[in-house]
Amino acid sequence: MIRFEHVVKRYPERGDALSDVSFQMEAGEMVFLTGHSGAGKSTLLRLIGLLERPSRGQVIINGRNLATLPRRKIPYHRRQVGMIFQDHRLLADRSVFDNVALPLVVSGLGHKEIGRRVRAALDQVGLLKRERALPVALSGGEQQRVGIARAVVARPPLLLADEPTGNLDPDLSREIFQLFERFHHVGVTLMIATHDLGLIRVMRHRTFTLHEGRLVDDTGGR
Amino acid sequence: MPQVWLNHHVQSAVATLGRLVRAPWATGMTVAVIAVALALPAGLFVLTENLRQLVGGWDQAAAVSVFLRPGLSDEVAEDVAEELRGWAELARVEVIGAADALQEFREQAGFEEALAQLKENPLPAVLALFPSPNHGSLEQVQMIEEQLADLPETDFVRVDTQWLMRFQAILDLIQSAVVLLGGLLGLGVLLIVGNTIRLEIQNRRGEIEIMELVGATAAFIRRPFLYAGVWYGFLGGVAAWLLVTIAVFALQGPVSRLASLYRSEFPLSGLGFLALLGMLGGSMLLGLVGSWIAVNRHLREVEPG
Repeated sequence: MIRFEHVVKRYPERGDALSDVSFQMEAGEMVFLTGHSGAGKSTLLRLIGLLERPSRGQVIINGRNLATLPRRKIPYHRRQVGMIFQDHRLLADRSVFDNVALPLVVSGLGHKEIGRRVRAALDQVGLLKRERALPVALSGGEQQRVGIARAVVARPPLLLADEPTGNLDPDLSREIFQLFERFHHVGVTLMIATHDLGLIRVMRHRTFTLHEGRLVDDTGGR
Repeated sequence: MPQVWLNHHVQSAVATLGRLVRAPWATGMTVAVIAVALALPAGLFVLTENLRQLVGGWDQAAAVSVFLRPGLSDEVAEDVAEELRGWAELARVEVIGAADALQEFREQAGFEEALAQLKENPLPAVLALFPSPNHGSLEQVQMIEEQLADLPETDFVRVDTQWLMRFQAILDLIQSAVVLLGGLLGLGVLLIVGNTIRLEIQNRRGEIEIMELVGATAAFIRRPFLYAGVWYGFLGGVAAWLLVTIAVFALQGPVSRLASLYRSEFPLSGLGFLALLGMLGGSMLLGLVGSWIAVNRHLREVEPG
């Protein structure tokens, strides 16, 4: 599903964010990505979502080398990747429904189908009753669940989450991770960057540890 | 698929108009600037068209008057006229006999009493000549003038339409200037729309980034901005048409009064239907091109971070 081959990402202003990272991840796997802030977790996720391109090395997703993907094909790649952010990145002036509908609207789905799928996604995260609310009217945990609903509404085979529980208290964090666990059980491939080591230990999934841009530990694939 | 695509365009166009209407002040300012920029050349165009019409009405006035030697009888005048009617350069020849000229002079000029003092008619017979349409240019009329001056019966020749032709040349010059001005102000409209769209892109940067994150294509993101440009052009064009129409309406009164002093009528014409269509089409195109330039320059700078 995801293969990194000697990937280097170098920023001119702050040197190597990733240096010589190689790993392979199978479809349906759930992987935690951990390490100090600045270790390169976000950069790694951004390379998979094609928010950035590597300075050297290959990133191969679903057998497709992203280096050969032309710019105009990037949107279609991103539709296959659901992305979840620590700051949710919701549109403040649109309702919960409209926020979650966005990925379906941009891929040109019809009204009825959008309504059906958005409600299904909101139901999954337990926010069906808040579809008319604006994001500011929701708590942090609810906002994050809207972000998750938006990421899964188009049913992408791959979900990336960058510190999804960074601003949440332990109970809410556990709820969010249980949600991820459910997606994992229905076959979605997940990569979750977090420094919530307690939860990682409890959940016993494969874990990558990054340190100063290098992959220093991989608890191993199946 | 084409239907879905069409639906998207209609939706995008309507949604964009809705967005513009919800910000009436900002939209109104932009539209007003565009309207003024368009109304200036359009108004000048209407002015020159009206003047042209006015001058066109005088085309039937005699172009050349030949004053025959005093004392020649009206019969001689008729003979000369008969000879001139054979010329290919002339479409029509009219004879104003000395007695008729005196009568006309009395009626028009109000010199009745002064003229009554005269014992004999001081006026000569006059031939009024109308050049045929393909001999109407200034040079050609000058040639006719020279030939007429050589006739033995001629006292002197006066070309009446010289000033008219000069006036028409001036009108042509003004109209060329209007085209130039229109081009310049059109460029202004392009820049206004471009700048407005640039600001709009900056304001909606966060939204654009999120759209890119969830896989919106460049065309999808571009579309509402391009429609906004077209709407600005359309609304600006309509407002410019309103300005010109109001101006024509306001000027109709004074023009009628002026015309009545010349015992004449002159209905001002506004922007015709075709001119209106042309202006609207042009302004919408300018809006589209302006926003296209802005979108291509600035959307690329927005990358999801």
